[in-house]
Amino acid sequence: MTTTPNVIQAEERFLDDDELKLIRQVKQGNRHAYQRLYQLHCGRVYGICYRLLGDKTSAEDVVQEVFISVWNKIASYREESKFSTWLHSVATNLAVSHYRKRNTWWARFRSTEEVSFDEPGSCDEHEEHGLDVKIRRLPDQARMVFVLFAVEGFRHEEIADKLGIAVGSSKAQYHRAKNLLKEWIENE
Amino acid sequence: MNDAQFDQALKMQIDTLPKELAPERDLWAGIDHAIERQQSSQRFNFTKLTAVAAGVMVIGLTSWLTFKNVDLPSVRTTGQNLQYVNWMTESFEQQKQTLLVKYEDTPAMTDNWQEQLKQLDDAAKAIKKALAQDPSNAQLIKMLQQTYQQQLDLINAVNQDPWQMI
Repeated sequence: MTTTPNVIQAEERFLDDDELKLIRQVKQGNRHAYQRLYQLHCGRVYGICYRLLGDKTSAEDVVQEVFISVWNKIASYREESKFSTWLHSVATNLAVSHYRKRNTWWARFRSTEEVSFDEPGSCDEHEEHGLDVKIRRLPDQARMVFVLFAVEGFRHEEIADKLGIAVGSSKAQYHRAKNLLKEWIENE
Repeated sequence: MNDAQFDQALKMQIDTLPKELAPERDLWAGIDHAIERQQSSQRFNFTKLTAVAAGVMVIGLTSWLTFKNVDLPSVRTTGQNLQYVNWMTESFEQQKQTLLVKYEDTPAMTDNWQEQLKQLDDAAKAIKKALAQDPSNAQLIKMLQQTYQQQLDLINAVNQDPWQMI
Protein backbone atom coordinates (compact mmCIF):
# COMPACT_ATOMS: atom_id res chain seq x y z
CA MET A 1 0.00 0.00 0.00
CA THR A 2 1.37 3.40 -0.92
CA THR A 3 0.54 6.93 0.13
CA THR A 4 1.37 8.49 -3.26
CA PRO A 5 -2.22 8.75 -4.56
CA ASN A 6 -3.26 10.71 -1.47
CA VAL A 7 -0.33 13.11 -1.90
CA ILE A 8 -1.24 13.63 -5.55
CA GLN A 9 -4.92 14.10 -4.68
CA ALA A 10 -3.97 16.63 -2.01
CA GLU A 11 -1.77 18.52 -4.47
CA GLU A 12 -4.54 18.52 -7.08
CA ARG A 13 -7.02 19.71 -4.49
CA PHE A 14 -4.63 22.52 -3.50
CA LEU A 15 -4.19 23.51 -7.14
CA ASP A 16 -7.95 23.37 -7.72
CA ASP A 17 -8.61 25.61 -4.72
CA ASP A 18 -5.93 28.02 -5.87
CA GLU A 19 -7.36 28.00 -9.36
CA LEU A 20 -10.88 28.50 -8.07
CA LYS A 21 -9.76 31.66 -6.28
CA LEU A 22 -8.28 32.92 -9.54
CA ILE A 23 -11.47 32.07 -11.44
CA ARG A 24 -13.59 33.96 -8.93
CA GLN A 25 -11.29 36.97 -9.25
CA VAL A 26 -11.58 36.73 -13.03
CA LYS A 27 -15.37 36.68 -12.71
CA GLN A 28 -15.04 40.01 -10.89
CA GLY A 29 -13.14 41.37 -13.92
CA ASN A 30 -9.58 40.99 -12.57
CA ARG A 31 -7.27 40.87 -15.60
CA HIS A 32 -4.16 40.10 -13.57
CA ALA A 33 -5.83 36.96 -12.23
CA TYR A 34 -6.77 36.09 -15.79
CA GLN A 35 -3.18 36.46 -16.92
CA ARG A 36 -2.17 33.98 -14.21
CA LEU A 37 -4.90 31.59 -15.35
CA TYR A 38 -3.67 32.00 -18.93
CA GLN A 39 -0.12 31.18 -17.88
CA LEU A 40 -1.32 28.01 -16.14
CA HIS A 41 -3.24 26.72 -19.15
CA CYS A 42 -1.71 28.27 -22.25
CA GLY A 43 0.66 25.38 -22.98
CA ARG A 44 -2.07 22.75 -22.88
CA VAL A 45 -4.49 24.81 -24.96
CA TYR A 46 -1.78 25.55 -27.52
CA GLY A 47 -0.93 21.81 -27.62
CA ILE A 48 -4.54 20.94 -28.46
CA CYS A 49 -4.81 23.63 -31.13
CA TYR A 50 -1.44 22.97 -32.71
CA ARG A 51 -2.01 19.23 -33.01
CA LEU A 52 -5.50 19.70 -34.41
CA LEU A 53 -4.67 22.43 -36.90
CA GLY A 54 -1.14 21.39 -37.83
CA ASP A 55 0.31 24.88 -38.14
CA LYS A 56 1.67 27.35 -35.65
CA THR A 57 0.07 30.53 -36.93
CA SER A 58 -3.47 29.14 -36.92
CA ALA A 59 -2.89 27.50 -33.54
CA GLU A 60 -1.66 30.77 -32.03
CA ASP A 61 -4.62 32.68 -33.46
CA VAL A 62 -7.07 30.13 -32.07
CA VAL A 63 -5.39 30.18 -28.63
CA GLN A 64 -6.00 33.93 -28.50
CA GLU A 65 -9.56 33.42 -29.65
CA VAL A 66 -10.05 30.77 -26.93
CA PHE A 67 -8.83 33.02 -24.12
CA ILE A 68 -10.84 36.01 -25.34
CA SER A 69 -13.93 33.81 -25.61
CA VAL A 70 -13.35 32.32 -22.14
CA TRP A 71 -13.02 35.83 -20.65
CA ASN A 72 -16.42 36.69 -22.13
CA LYS A 73 -18.03 33.41 -21.06
CA ILE A 74 -16.42 32.95 -17.64
CA ALA A 75 -19.67 33.86 -15.87
CA SER A 76 -21.28 30.78 -17.42
CA TYR A 77 -18.63 28.47 -15.90
CA ARG A 78 -20.52 26.96 -12.98
CA GLU A 79 -17.57 25.40 -11.13
CA GLU A 80 -19.30 22.00 -11.18
CA SER A 81 -16.69 20.47 -13.49
CA LYS A 82 -12.95 21.07 -13.62
CA PHE A 83 -12.01 24.37 -15.22
CA SER A 84 -9.46 22.62 -17.44
CA THR A 85 -12.16 20.29 -18.82
CA TRP A 86 -14.35 23.26 -19.68
CA LEU A 87 -11.43 25.20 -21.15
CA HIS A 88 -10.24 22.27 -23.28
CA SER A 89 -13.73 21.79 -24.60
CA VAL A 90 -13.86 25.47 -25.66
CA ALA A 91 -10.40 25.09 -27.26
CA THR A 92 -11.37 21.95 -29.17
CA ASN A 93 -14.60 23.49 -30.43
CA LEU A 94 -12.91 26.69 -31.59
CA ALA A 95 -10.07 24.80 -33.28
CA VAL A 96 -12.57 22.57 -35.10
CA SER A 97 -14.64 25.60 -36.06
CA HIS A 98 -11.49 27.33 -37.36
CA TYR A 99 -10.60 24.22 -39.36
CA ARG A 100 -14.11 23.98 -40.84
CA LYS A 101 -14.11 27.65 -41.87
CA ARG A 102 -10.63 27.37 -43.36
CA ASN A 103 -11.42 24.14 -45.09
CA THR A 104 -14.29 25.53 -47.11
CA TRP A 105 -12.20 28.00 -49.09
CA TRP A 106 -8.64 26.96 -48.30
CA ALA A 107 -9.12 23.58 -49.89
CA ARG A 108 -9.58 25.30 -53.26
CA PHE A 109 -6.08 26.68 -53.05
CA ARG A 110 -4.44 23.53 -51.86
CA SER A 111 -4.12 20.97 -54.61
CA THR A 112 -2.73 18.30 -52.33
CA GLU A 113 -3.68 17.49 -48.77
CA GLU A 114 -0.22 16.19 -47.94
CA VAL A 115 1.44 19.61 -47.84
CA SER A 116 1.70 20.96 -44.32
CA PHE A 117 1.98 24.63 -43.36
CA ASP A 118 5.25 24.23 -41.50
CA GLU A 119 7.35 22.27 -43.94
CA PRO A 120 9.23 19.27 -42.53
CA GLY A 121 12.79 20.19 -41.88
CA SER A 122 12.07 23.51 -40.22
CA CYS A 123 14.35 24.20 -37.26
CA ASP A 124 11.64 23.48 -34.66
CA GLU A 125 11.18 19.97 -35.93
CA HIS A 126 14.33 18.92 -34.07
CA GLU A 127 12.71 19.85 -30.77
CA GLU A 128 9.38 18.25 -31.63
CA HIS A 129 8.35 14.78 -30.55
CA GLY A 130 8.83 12.34 -33.42
CA LEU A 131 5.14 11.40 -33.43
CA ASP A 132 4.07 15.06 -33.45
CA VAL A 133 6.10 15.62 -36.63
CA LYS A 134 4.30 12.72 -38.31
CA ILE A 135 0.88 13.79 -37.03
CA ARG A 136 1.49 17.19 -38.58
CA ARG A 137 2.14 15.55 -41.96
CA LEU A 138 -1.23 13.79 -41.96
CA PRO A 139 -3.99 15.02 -44.30
CA ASP A 140 -6.18 17.63 -42.55
CA GLN A 141 -9.25 15.55 -41.81
CA ALA A 142 -7.32 12.40 -40.93
CA ARG A 143 -5.16 14.46 -38.54
CA MET A 144 -8.19 16.07 -36.87
CA VAL A 145 -9.87 12.70 -36.34
CA PHE A 146 -6.65 11.01 -35.17
CA VAL A 147 -5.86 13.76 -32.63
CA LEU A 148 -9.43 13.91 -31.32
CA PHE A 149 -9.73 10.13 -31.02
CA ALA A 150 -6.27 8.85 -30.09
CA VAL A 151 -4.78 11.84 -28.27
CA GLU A 152 -7.76 13.72 -26.77
CA GLY A 153 -9.93 10.66 -26.15
CA PHE A 154 -13.16 11.65 -27.91
CA ARG A 155 -15.53 8.97 -29.22
CA HIS A 156 -16.19 8.67 -32.95
CA GLU A 157 -19.80 9.79 -32.42
CA GLU A 158 -18.58 13.00 -30.76
CA ILE A 159 -15.96 13.56 -33.47
CA ALA A 160 -18.52 13.05 -36.22
CA ASP A 161 -20.76 15.59 -34.52
CA LYS A 162 -17.98 18.16 -34.12
CA LEU A 163 -16.67 17.80 -37.66
CA GLY A 164 -20.07 17.44 -39.31
CA ILE A 165 -19.25 14.08 -40.85
CA ALA A 166 -20.71 10.58 -40.58
CA VAL A 167 -19.51 8.27 -37.80
CA GLY A 168 -18.30 5.86 -40.50
CA SER A 169 -16.22 8.63 -42.09
CA SER A 170 -14.63 9.39 -38.74
CA LYS A 171 -13.65 5.74 -38.32
CA ALA A 172 -12.37 5.58 -41.90
CA GLN A 173 -10.25 8.72 -41.43
CA TYR A 174 -8.80 7.28 -38.22
CA HIS A 175 -7.74 4.10 -40.02
CA ARG A 176 -6.32 6.15 -42.86
CA ALA A 177 -4.24 8.15 -40.38
CA LYS A 178 -3.07 5.01 -38.60
CA ASN A 179 -2.04 3.34 -41.88
CA LEU A 180 -0.08 6.40 -42.97
CA LEU A 181 1.68 6.63 -39.61
CA LYS A 182 2.50 2.91 -39.78
CA GLU A 183 3.94 3.31 -43.24
CA TRP A 184 6.09 6.30 -42.22
CA ILE A 185 7.32 4.66 -39.03
CA GLU A 186 8.22 1.41 -40.82
CA ASN A 187 10.09 3.28 -43.57
CA GLU A 188 12.15 5.34 -41.15
CA MET B 1 5.25 -5.38 -37.42
CA ASN B 2 1.67 -6.69 -37.35
CA ASP B 3 -1.34 -4.47 -36.60
CA ALA B 4 -1.59 -5.44 -32.94
CA GLN B 5 2.10 -4.72 -32.35
CA PHE B 6 1.83 -1.44 -34.18
CA ASP B 7 -1.25 -0.40 -32.17
CA GLN B 8 0.66 -1.09 -28.96
CA ALA B 9 3.75 0.80 -30.14
CA LEU B 10 1.59 3.71 -31.29
CA LYS B 11 -0.21 3.85 -27.95
CA MET B 12 3.12 3.97 -26.15
CA GLN B 13 4.27 6.84 -28.34
CA ILE B 14 1.01 8.71 -27.80
CA ASP B 15 1.43 8.32 -24.04
CA THR B 16 4.85 9.99 -24.24
CA LEU B 17 3.56 12.99 -26.20
CA PRO B 18 4.01 16.18 -24.16
CA LYS B 19 0.65 17.52 -23.00
CA GLU B 20 1.85 21.09 -23.19
CA LEU B 21 3.56 22.88 -26.08
CA ALA B 22 4.96 26.39 -26.01
CA PRO B 23 3.79 28.92 -28.59
CA GLU B 24 6.57 30.96 -30.22
CA ARG B 25 4.80 34.30 -29.95
CA ASP B 26 3.74 36.11 -26.81
CA LEU B 27 0.00 35.61 -27.11
CA TRP B 28 -1.02 37.32 -23.88
CA ALA B 29 -0.38 40.85 -25.20
CA GLY B 30 -2.96 40.32 -27.98
CA ILE B 31 -5.50 38.77 -25.61
CA ASP B 32 -5.06 41.57 -23.06
CA HIS B 33 -5.40 44.19 -25.77
CA ALA B 34 -8.60 42.60 -27.13
CA ILE B 35 -10.12 42.39 -23.64
CA GLU B 36 -9.19 46.02 -22.91
CA ARG B 37 -10.76 47.11 -26.21
CA GLN B 38 -13.96 45.19 -25.42
CA GLN B 39 -14.18 46.75 -21.97
CA SER B 40 -13.67 50.27 -23.38
CA SER B 41 -16.33 49.59 -25.99
CA GLN B 42 -18.73 48.31 -23.30
CA ARG B 43 -18.04 51.42 -21.18
CA PHE B 44 -18.68 53.61 -24.24
CA ASN B 45 -21.89 51.74 -25.02
CA PHE B 46 -23.05 52.08 -21.42
CA THR B 47 -22.40 55.84 -21.53
CA LYS B 48 -24.29 56.10 -24.83
CA LEU B 49 -27.16 54.04 -23.44
CA THR B 50 -27.33 56.23 -20.33
CA ALA B 51 -27.41 59.36 -22.49
CA VAL B 52 -30.21 57.92 -24.66
CA ALA B 53 -32.18 56.84 -21.58
CA ALA B 54 -31.78 60.30 -20.06
CA GLY B 55 -32.95 61.90 -23.32
CA VAL B 56 -36.01 59.67 -23.49
CA MET B 57 -36.85 60.49 -19.87
CA VAL B 58 -36.60 64.25 -20.53
CA ILE B 59 -38.82 63.98 -23.60
CA GLY B 60 -41.32 61.79 -21.72
CA LEU B 61 -41.44 64.10 -18.75
CA THR B 62 -41.85 67.19 -20.94
CA SER B 63 -44.67 65.52 -22.90
CA TRP B 64 -46.42 64.44 -19.72
CA LEU B 65 -46.19 67.91 -18.19
CA THR B 66 -47.45 69.48 -21.43
CA PHE B 67 -50.39 67.19 -22.09
CA LYS B 68 -51.49 66.00 -18.66
CA ASN B 69 -54.05 68.81 -18.26
CA VAL B 70 -55.54 68.33 -21.73
CA ASP B 71 -56.56 64.71 -21.24
CA LEU B 72 -57.73 64.95 -17.68
CA PRO B 73 -60.83 67.17 -17.51
CA SER B 74 -61.26 66.44 -13.80
CA VAL B 75 -58.22 68.56 -12.95
CA ARG B 76 -59.56 71.61 -14.86
CA THR B 77 -61.32 74.36 -13.04
CA THR B 78 -65.11 74.72 -13.40
CA GLY B 79 -64.67 77.68 -15.71
CA GLN B 80 -62.25 75.80 -17.92
CA ASN B 81 -64.65 72.85 -18.11
CA LEU B 82 -67.54 75.01 -19.31
CA GLN B 83 -65.28 76.62 -21.85
CA TYR B 84 -64.21 73.18 -23.07
CA VAL B 85 -67.84 71.95 -23.36
CA ASN B 86 -68.85 75.07 -25.31
CA TRP B 87 -65.88 74.69 -27.65
CA MET B 88 -66.71 71.00 -28.18
CA THR B 89 -70.38 71.77 -28.88
CA GLU B 90 -69.54 74.52 -31.38
CA SER B 91 -67.11 72.27 -33.18
CA PHE B 92 -69.67 69.45 -33.30
CA GLU B 93 -72.43 71.71 -34.64
CA GLN B 94 -70.17 72.95 -37.42
CA GLN B 95 -69.22 69.41 -38.46
CA LYS B 96 -72.85 68.25 -38.28
CA GLN B 97 -74.01 71.09 -40.53
CA THR B 98 -71.22 70.45 -43.00
CA LEU B 99 -72.21 66.78 -43.25
CA LEU B 100 -75.91 67.52 -43.58
CA VAL B 101 -75.20 69.93 -46.44
CA LYS B 102 -72.86 67.43 -48.06
CA TYR B 103 -75.49 64.64 -48.02
CA GLU B 104 -78.45 66.90 -48.82
CA ASP B 105 -79.07 65.31 -52.25
CA THR B 106 -77.92 61.81 -51.37
CA PRO B 107 -80.70 59.24 -50.75
CA ALA B 108 -80.36 57.83 -47.23
CA MET B 109 -80.00 54.08 -46.64
CA THR B 110 -82.64 54.07 -43.87
CA ASP B 111 -85.84 56.03 -43.37
CA ASN B 112 -85.68 56.59 -39.65
CA TRP B 113 -82.13 57.96 -39.39
CA GLN B 114 -83.38 61.47 -38.56
CA GLU B 115 -85.41 60.04 -35.72
CA GLN B 116 -82.26 58.27 -34.41
CA LEU B 117 -80.33 61.49 -34.82
CA LYS B 118 -82.95 63.36 -32.80
CA GLN B 119 -82.77 60.78 -30.02
CA LEU B 120 -79.01 61.23 -29.83
CA ASP B 121 -79.43 65.00 -29.90
CA ASP B 122 -81.93 64.82 -27.02
CA ALA B 123 -79.47 62.68 -25.07
CA ALA B 124 -76.77 65.32 -25.68
CA LYS B 125 -79.08 68.05 -24.44
CA ALA B 126 -79.83 66.06 -21.27
CA ILE B 127 -76.13 65.56 -20.63
CA LYS B 128 -75.45 69.25 -21.15
CA LYS B 129 -78.21 70.08 -18.66
CA ALA B 130 -76.61 67.76 -16.12
CA LEU B 131 -73.24 69.33 -16.84
CA ALA B 132 -74.62 72.75 -16.05
CA GLN B 133 -75.32 71.45 -12.53
CA ASP B 134 -72.00 69.59 -12.23
CA PRO B 135 -69.44 71.20 -14.60
CA SER B 136 -66.42 69.32 -13.20
CA ASN B 137 -67.94 65.87 -13.87
CA ALA B 138 -65.45 64.19 -16.23
CA GLN B 139 -67.77 61.25 -16.97
CA LEU B 140 -70.53 63.56 -18.24
CA ILE B 141 -68.05 65.37 -20.50
CA LYS B 142 -66.92 62.04 -21.89
CA MET B 143 -70.52 60.94 -22.48
CA LEU B 144 -71.27 64.18 -24.31
CA GLN B 145 -68.21 63.68 -26.49
CA GLN B 146 -69.38 60.13 -27.35
CA THR B 147 -72.93 61.26 -28.13
CA TYR B 148 -71.63 63.90 -30.54
CA GLN B 149 -69.37 61.36 -32.22
CA GLN B 150 -72.28 58.87 -32.57
CA GLN B 151 -74.36 61.54 -34.32
CA LEU B 152 -71.60 62.28 -36.84
CA ASP B 153 -71.02 58.55 -37.43
CA LEU B 154 -74.75 58.00 -37.99
CA ILE B 155 -75.01 60.82 -40.58
CA ASN B 156 -71.98 59.41 -42.41
CA ALA B 157 -73.16 55.81 -42.28
CA VAL B 158 -76.70 56.30 -43.62
CA ASN B 159 -75.78 58.75 -46.35
CA GLN B 160 -72.69 57.16 -47.84
CA ASP B 161 -72.80 55.64 -51.33
CA PRO B 162 -72.92 51.82 -50.78
CA TRP B 163 -70.54 51.28 -53.71
CA GLN B 164 -68.01 53.54 -52.09
CA MET B 165 -68.34 51.58 -48.87
CA ILE B 166 -67.30 48.42 -50.72
